[in-house]
Amino acid sequence: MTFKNRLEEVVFQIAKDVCAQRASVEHNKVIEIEATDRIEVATFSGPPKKEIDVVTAGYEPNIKLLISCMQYGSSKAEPSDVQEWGDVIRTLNKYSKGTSFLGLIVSPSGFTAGCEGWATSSNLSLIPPMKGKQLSFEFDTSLQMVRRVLSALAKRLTFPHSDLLSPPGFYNFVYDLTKDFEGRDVQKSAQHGGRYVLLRTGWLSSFGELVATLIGRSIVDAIATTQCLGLRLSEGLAFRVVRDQIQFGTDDNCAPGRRTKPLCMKNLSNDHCTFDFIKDLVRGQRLTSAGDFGSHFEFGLSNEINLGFHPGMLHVVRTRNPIELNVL
Amino acid sequence: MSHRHVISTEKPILFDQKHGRIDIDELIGTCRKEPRRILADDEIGIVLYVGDLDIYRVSGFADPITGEPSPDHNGHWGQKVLQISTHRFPTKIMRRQIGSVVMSTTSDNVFLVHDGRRVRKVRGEDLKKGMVLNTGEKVLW
Repeated sequence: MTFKNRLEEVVFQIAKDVCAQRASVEHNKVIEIEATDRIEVATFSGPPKKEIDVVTAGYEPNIKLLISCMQYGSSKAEPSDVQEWGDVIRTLNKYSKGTSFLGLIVSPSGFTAGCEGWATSSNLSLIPPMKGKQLSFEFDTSLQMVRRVLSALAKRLTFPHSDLLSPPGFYNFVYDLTKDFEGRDVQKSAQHGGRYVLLRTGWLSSFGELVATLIGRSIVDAIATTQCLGLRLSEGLAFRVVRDQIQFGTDDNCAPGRRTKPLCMKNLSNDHCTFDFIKDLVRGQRLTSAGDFGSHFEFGLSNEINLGFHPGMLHVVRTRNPIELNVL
Repeated sequence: MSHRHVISTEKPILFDQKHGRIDIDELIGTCRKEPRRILADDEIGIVLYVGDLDIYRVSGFADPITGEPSPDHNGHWGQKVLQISTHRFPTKIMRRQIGSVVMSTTSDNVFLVHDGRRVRKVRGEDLKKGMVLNTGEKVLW
């Protein structure tokens, strides 16, 4: 099987993953209308037809999503591209005998401003979405959007879906499924983007999600390896600091590196202590607060102990006053 | 009510036909028992289809298509919810008063506003005092 470009190849693979045998890719495909017996389509050369390159994702009940893959390097797709695809879909639907056609255009380099009106009025969906300001999404992000949309459509079509078949129903459906990638990509490219990662899935996360997930859990044990420091927590959760990255979530029991005993300090005066001392101190304590200082990360434990994760070092301090009477 | 709306928020205020509050986390739990309702569940967030469950949101908006108002017994507007998206990476959240309701919205939420003789889309962050939505409600601040 040959492909026009990498975009088409990956989009077809996604369509195949979702729609199995109902996915196809065709080049220079001559598409013809289904209702060829109407007088308005009678011509000397036969009914209207058009040659297109198309990835088709077929769904029950009798719905075909026709995908146009436009890989234009750094140039954006233009209104004429959208108009042409809109004409194809409109004509196929008008002279259809039972099949409903939906249209999707994938152009990772984006679309010029004039495309939106043509797309909404033709009920064509666009990936990446047009969001009313200059945005550029990575190539891979566009592919993630395609997978999300194709998978969601398979489920959505099991419910009443006449609203998707008339403008701008399908355009909005795809827009709603793809618009939130902006927040993810903003987070990824932010100063500390990629700092928070969920264990097992590897999904990008945030400080807020860490707090929502971990605060209130109890410490089962502290762990230290040559590559990370961390905690095993109640309810099968874990927290790890691996270089500059904070990993948390459902424990995968795969802390990188060999087990070791890190440098351990206690009190504001930085007195040395053993790793076992810290383990005994923190086991069973509840996480009650968290703070990310960029250079290090801290948990408040049971509202009276501060446990700091510094590069290669753990630091505990009792936070009760007066300090001199509450040293560890 | 025929009002349909897709909402995208971290914690939407939802209620049922009898005006009982619906907890979004409980709703997600219920929908997980019927996986086809979970249109997406990934790094970006969760999208649920609830169009047939008679779920409504409190809103200051009228029907987004017809502009027809639908006050409930408290004088609020009720909009039937079609789809619910919870996102893990919201863009900036901002507060606006639109008509009678003060609402939190994300900077990328899309509003339809009157602009002379046409209707155009405006991002949440670009809503300005005095703009009038296509539903007839005014942006107060």
